[in-house]
Amino acid sequence: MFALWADDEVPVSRISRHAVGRFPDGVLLRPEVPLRIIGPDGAETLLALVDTGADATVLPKWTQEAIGAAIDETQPSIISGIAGQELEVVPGNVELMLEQAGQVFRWTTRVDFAADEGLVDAAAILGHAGCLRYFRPSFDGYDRELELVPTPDFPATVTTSK
Amino acid sequence: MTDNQTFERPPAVPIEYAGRWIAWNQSQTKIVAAGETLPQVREAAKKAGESEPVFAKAPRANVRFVGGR
Repeated sequence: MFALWADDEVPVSRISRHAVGRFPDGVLLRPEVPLRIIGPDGAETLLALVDTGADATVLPKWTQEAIGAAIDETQPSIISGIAGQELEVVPGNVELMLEQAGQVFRWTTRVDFAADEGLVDAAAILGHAGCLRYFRPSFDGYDRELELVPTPDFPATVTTSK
Repeated sequence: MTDNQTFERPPAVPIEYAGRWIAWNQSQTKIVAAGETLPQVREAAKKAGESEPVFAKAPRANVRFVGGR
């Protein structure tokens, strides 16, 4: 066990806001974080939905191609939504980075890539495998804030941004 | 939340972008491009002069998300 930092816990925070149609207050709030996806050929940034009910971390296939991430097309699998809709994904290895308030969390992990058109309502999903198993998420509905604090088994180090 | 934590609350995504891919500027204060596919939005953001766009998918209007695709 080791401490990622001694004193302050610095969270990653963002609640995105979307104007929507006929919902009561006309605005939808979503817990999304800017996620940097890094591969051998480059990096791209997406707003990813933090979903504690999701088993997997799912990214659009376009990002895999854009950053040159290695994938294993011999190991496809199926993910499913609440209504049972199924979507085929393929695993790949990437570096992920979250940055906020002067702290950088960067780690190498395995994620799933889905066809872009399969991601209908979110650009990316941060689920348990690949991401949330390394964080303690906290959703504050009153202050409309999200807090992600890395756990002791976070598979990398936390650094200070420049 | 720590007391010294500060961050800008992002502006709301206007409803006309519902269901579309969008690109924010790097500081996520302004939408610089929108389109039906990520490659389209990437190209449009580049043409708009944004070298480090932040991509997002605006949720569909009048559709609530409860997990899955």
